[in-house]
Amino acid sequence: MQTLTGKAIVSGLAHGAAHISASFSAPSDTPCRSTEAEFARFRAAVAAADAELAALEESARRETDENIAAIFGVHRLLLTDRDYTDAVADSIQSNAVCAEDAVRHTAERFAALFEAADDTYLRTRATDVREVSARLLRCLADSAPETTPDIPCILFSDELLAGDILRFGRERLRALVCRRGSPDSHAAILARSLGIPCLVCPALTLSALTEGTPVLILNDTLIFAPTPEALADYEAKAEEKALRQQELSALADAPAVTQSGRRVALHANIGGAGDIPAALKAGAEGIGLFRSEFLFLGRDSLPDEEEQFAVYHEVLEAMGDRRVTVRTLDLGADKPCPALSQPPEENPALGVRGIRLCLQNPALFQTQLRALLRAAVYGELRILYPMIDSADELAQIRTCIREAADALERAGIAYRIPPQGIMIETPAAALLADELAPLADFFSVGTNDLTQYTLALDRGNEHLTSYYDPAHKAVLRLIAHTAACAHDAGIPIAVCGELAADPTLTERFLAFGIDELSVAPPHLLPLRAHIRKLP
Amino acid sequence: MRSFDYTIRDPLGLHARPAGQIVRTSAPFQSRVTLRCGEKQAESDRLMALMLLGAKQGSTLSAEIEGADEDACAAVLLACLEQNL
Repeated sequence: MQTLTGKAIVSGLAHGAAHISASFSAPSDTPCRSTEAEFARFRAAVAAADAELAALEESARRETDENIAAIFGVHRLLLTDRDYTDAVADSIQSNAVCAEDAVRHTAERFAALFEAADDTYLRTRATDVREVSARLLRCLADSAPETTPDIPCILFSDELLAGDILRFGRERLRALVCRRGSPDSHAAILARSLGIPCLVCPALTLSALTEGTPVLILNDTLIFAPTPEALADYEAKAEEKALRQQELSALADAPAVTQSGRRVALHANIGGAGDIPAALKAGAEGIGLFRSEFLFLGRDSLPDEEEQFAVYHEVLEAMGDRRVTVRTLDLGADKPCPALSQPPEENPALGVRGIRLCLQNPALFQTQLRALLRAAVYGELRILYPMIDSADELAQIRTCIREAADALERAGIAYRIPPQGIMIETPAAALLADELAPLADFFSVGTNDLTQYTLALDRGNEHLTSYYDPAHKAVLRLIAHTAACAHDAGIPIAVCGELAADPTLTERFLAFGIDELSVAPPHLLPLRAHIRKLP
Repeated sequence: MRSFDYTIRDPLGLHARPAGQIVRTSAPFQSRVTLRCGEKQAESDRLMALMLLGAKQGSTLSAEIEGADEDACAAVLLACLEQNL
């Protein structure tokens, strides 16, 4: 028995026989024959790859949805694009290299072109170019398409590819283990939506693998040839998980209503469009918090209006007529963004962050507001402003909205001014809730920060864990007061911080009059089950 | 030679799907079709080049069609853009 650890892109439990993909063992030292021979091999591989893709497109259309089929449609067009095929032919001709090398070099050149584009959509197409190239390389390696075993298996391959997932189908593919893979790739999204666990294990080597070895996957852990004990332990875990899943899934469409008929809306907190399938599957009635700062983190350039618009639009389309609440950029010195010049601060939690950052950087704020106003035409969008302290801030925001709307009006671009609400996450906002309620369309309580500021303690400080009581009386009193003010002004109130998912507080929130709870997707079903059991 | 301008309405701009449709609908014609957007241009049979035009919602595509069947080709191309972009 051998154990390896990796990073689960899609978590889960799986067991099956190891099947080693041909792409894993593709040699890069293929001898080069004559130029004519290489041209012929390339043309044959293109034909084979196109046939594979046509079949995949067809089966995807039957089995999953149009979006996946469209991906394969795009791959077919890329494969037969004259610029691409001419470039490979040129490479074979002028460099006298074998078809494999020509395909690899050309793919990298084109992938680089897409990656250099100033458009997120185009940058993502680089992965498509690489997938097409991987398929071509596989077709060059085998004259026949890759064999697919009939028994359920765990596929070991170099790279996480959507084609592999569809080739096997969910019945025969228990899990995927790859050396490389990104959680945002088409393949990862597909695997997530089909519930197929994916593990990325950079340390994986061909020598460690034998075709047919029994394999167990437990989230981040990989076990080869498990002992009877390890297997029994796995089976117990798997059974328990299956039972729980069954109970919960039955509830996804059941209304979140207590025994006495008190109803509450259950929404999801997300960081990006990739979280939506899981949220919808778990019965999310809307998005209560879309953390827009995820668009800004971990990159050197700021997302422009087009890029932001594309993301908001995508999310709205995916959610149909369900409400989507986007919180404007909530960054500060504690969530650094290399693209923004943020001078270091002594107290980042109390510094230039949230709405302050936006009001001090008008161009930044205008870009986001314009993208949001344009996207609002396509669905039930609401805007949520973080770190609000005073009515004066709201007045400034209204001016910014007017400015963004006027600019779009002059440019003749369609827009809509959506409902706008504020985060209640500072004691000031909670205490002034009666003054702020008439000025906002809704409230959303950010319990994480509200607790931090009210109790004056740093959540991240491990010496303070005994002091950190998320259900502290002071915080609950502020929430109760805020809810009462919201109702007096006739506006709805949501709770979107971690406390929303705490089952020991649900009854109290309902008693306060909270209208909506927004939680991370894994909490949705358990919370719904809990609410239905309440008196 | 025939030419016309078209302003893109699709929020996603000239992405893979409509670009693919341009390639497919112009393929049967003999005429040479060049699409320009700002400083860049692409022939209608080059998918990647079309996508790399980076033509977004609100931008104007200028089409130039030259050949024996340019009238028919222009009509079909315009219809394709109106339907898909």
